[in-house]
Amino acid sequence: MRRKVTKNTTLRLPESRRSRRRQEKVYLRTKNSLLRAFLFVGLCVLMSSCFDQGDCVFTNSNVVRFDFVNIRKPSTLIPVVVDSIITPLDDATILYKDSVVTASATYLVSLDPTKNETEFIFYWGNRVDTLVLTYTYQSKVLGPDCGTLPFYNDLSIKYNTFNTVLIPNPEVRVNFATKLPNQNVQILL
Amino acid sequence: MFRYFCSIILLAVSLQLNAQDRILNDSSRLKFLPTGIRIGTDLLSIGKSYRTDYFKGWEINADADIFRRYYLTADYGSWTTNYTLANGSYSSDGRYFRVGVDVNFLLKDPERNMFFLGFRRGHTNYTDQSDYSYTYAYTVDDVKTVNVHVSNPNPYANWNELTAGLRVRVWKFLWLGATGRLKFSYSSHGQWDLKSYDVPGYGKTFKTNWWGINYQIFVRIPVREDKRPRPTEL
Repeated sequence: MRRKVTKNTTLRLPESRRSRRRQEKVYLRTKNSLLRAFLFVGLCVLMSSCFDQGDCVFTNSNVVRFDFVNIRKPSTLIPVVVDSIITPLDDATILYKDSVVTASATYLVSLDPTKNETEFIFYWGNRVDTLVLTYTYQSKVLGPDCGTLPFYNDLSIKYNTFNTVLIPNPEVRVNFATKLPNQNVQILL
Repeated sequence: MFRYFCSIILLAVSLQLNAQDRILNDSSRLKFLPTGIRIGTDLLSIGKSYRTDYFKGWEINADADIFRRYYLTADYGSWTTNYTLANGSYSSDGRYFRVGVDVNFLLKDPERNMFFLGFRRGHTNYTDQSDYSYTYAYTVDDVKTVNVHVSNPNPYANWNELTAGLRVRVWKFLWLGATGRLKFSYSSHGQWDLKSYDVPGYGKTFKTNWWGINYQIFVRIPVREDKRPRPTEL
């Protein structure tokens, strides 16, 4: 025979318990200890994240890296002798000058950070070539202790007298660990 | 972490669907009329405004039980920051709002204490700017320092939040609450010259997901009689 159980669906307490509990009106109560532990851990995690200000990872640069590479095999660098690289803006500033005649496949020169384009004139061997690069920049706050820094992006070719020039990486950055610039411009020979 | 949070939400919702609601059925006319509206403010924003020199702000919170265990919730706030940087300054100023739904998991609590999980959609319109100086080497022999002013005139941003928190009745109409927020799906518009560092309502933007917390004090305004059984109505 099944026993009939009356379920207290009204959530009313028995009279005896109601009178006992009449004295204890407690608002702040949490019976579930697991819930309390969860809340405590959660609050600790949340509070610790409030003090995160950001890391000083400096990867910005205004130095563009030019690589002379083999046109058939762009991974192969070709050393060439460049006498000088100048920019005609601002009374022909010399960005690079070879004091000792050496052949190199990689040249590092600066973009003008106050403008959106820089013209480079390469004097190498008996040739003179011009390359005009355009770019955008966006300032970024790294953190109160690191400051705001400009980041140059969207590097593109506006004018070029070399045979072929490629831009494998349009973001002008340096590697934070090695401090080496990205390979931004490939001049194919 | 985010996947675990989503799993918890889904599990909770599925449990909730299977659970037996013990609310008495209201008439259809009163079905979506809340029994009360809670209006409050964030104590952390007020405290932070007094205690720090880089933040000024306030936030107003409101929620209402629109249908059984579901609460419609809305927040509106002001957020102004002014950071002193190593090479200059950064400031942002704007208003923001969040709207969403909370699911109460302590429906049977006689004092209407509430443990909830919820979802919010946030939006802000603001301005920000930075003045700074930096040094660069144009040539080997020519090191220059430039002063730069950059600003975003009218950017805006949206984001989503998963929330969890408590509302605890402390005295008659007075309630205290804590809300933890996992902010995600941040999207920004109009940041051209300057990438925003601290977005009103969202916080710092250098992380994909961001946490936030509020400690709130509420006043509950009754709207209609609650037909729920109140076992410890003393």
